[in-house]
Amino acid sequence: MTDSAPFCAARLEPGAIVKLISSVTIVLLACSISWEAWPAAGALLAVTLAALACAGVRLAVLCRRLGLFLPIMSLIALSIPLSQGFTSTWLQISATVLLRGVISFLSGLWLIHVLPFDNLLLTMRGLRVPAVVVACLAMMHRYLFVLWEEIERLRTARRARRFGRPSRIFDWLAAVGLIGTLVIRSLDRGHRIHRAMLARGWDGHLRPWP
Amino acid sequence: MTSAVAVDVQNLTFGYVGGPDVLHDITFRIAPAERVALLGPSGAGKSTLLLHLNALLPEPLPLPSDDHRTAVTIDGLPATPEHAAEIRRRVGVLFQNPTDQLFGATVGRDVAFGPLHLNLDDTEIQARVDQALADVNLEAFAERDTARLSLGERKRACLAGVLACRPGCLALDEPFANLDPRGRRQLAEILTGFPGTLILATHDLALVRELTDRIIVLDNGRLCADAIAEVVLDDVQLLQRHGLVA
Repeated sequence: MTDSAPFCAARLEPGAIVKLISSVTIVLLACSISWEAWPAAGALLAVTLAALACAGVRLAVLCRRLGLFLPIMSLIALSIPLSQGFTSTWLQISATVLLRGVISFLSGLWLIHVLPFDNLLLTMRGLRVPAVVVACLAMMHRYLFVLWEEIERLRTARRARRFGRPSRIFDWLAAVGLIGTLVIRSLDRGHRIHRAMLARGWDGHLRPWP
Repeated sequence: MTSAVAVDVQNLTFGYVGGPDVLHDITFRIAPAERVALLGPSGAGKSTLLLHLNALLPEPLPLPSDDHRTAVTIDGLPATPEHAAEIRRRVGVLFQNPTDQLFGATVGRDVAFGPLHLNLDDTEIQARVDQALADVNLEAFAERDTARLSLGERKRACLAGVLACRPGCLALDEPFANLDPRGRRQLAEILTGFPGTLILATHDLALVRELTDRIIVLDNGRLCADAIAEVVLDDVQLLQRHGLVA
């Protein structure tokens, strides 16, 4: 199958193209806005939040997603002054990185709420996004659920051997162990998947199929 | 299907990096279209042996002085990296965990993975996908999300992915594990109809009796018995000695 396969054009939905392009445009705009243009960034954030509201994303869901994303993004934003020194503009730089990250994240969140993932991949293929990128996303999506199931199994096993109410410190230590186990299991799984791919002729070149 | 494949293993000794030897001096020969069961307790080396039959080991590549890979030949082709692609065309491996083997978003896309990498044209790929899905009774599952399949369906989808490559030899690692009786029966019926060489690593002695003519017993990485199926299955002491019956 080549990138220009006819199925893409035939099954592309105009609405899906508009959604994908809108989301990418918001990300690009967010990344190009400087600190001085903070009102524009605020307006972009407001537009994205409004789009999420229109998509029916509940506030509780949004807060949960942001609760997972913000700590990571804050660490990334802080890593800049930590590595380059706390100059007079460190706060502006970190805030800009944080704001750009949040707007981009919200834009992506909106996209996956309004466009089913299969449709998203199909639209990307139709818009000539490199097949490698689309195939990587497809595989990531496939194994994200497998990884999540693995986490759930580990958590269940941990709960099954937890008697009484443990302290918060114990909980944190157990979580660290769980993450470590998950990394090792994921590496093992990665090896097994690679072997299974080799067994079916994988030669390092992606050949997407409709 | 390509013509049935002959497998030759001579003095195969193998150990994973940093670990002890998993296989010790294994020697056997399987004729084309022969149906062989690999029996042995967990950790006997069955899965490792099957990986060798597909040129998937060792990792990393051996030292120049390490010539054990040429101990395995498939239709006369040594199982070395140079011949790996051709060997994988001829030998289809079904792995133990179906989740590791289903990388496509839908069943149809996953089954197409092998034929796509055989560089076939689209019509032929579609024909092979349809045929393989029909062979495993999953015709209606082409558009089904691979994450939403039962274990039995996942195993059959994996087998369809292997069959779509039309291998001359099927090497199956615990295909019946964790399947309910109906799932086992369905899978057994599919395997009964396979005309090529069949190598079956399993603990299911009833299905071994039904599906295979010959048994190779491995224990602790060593070949302990190699005989026709009835002889091994009727030797209760041998089975008990190697943890194959309680």
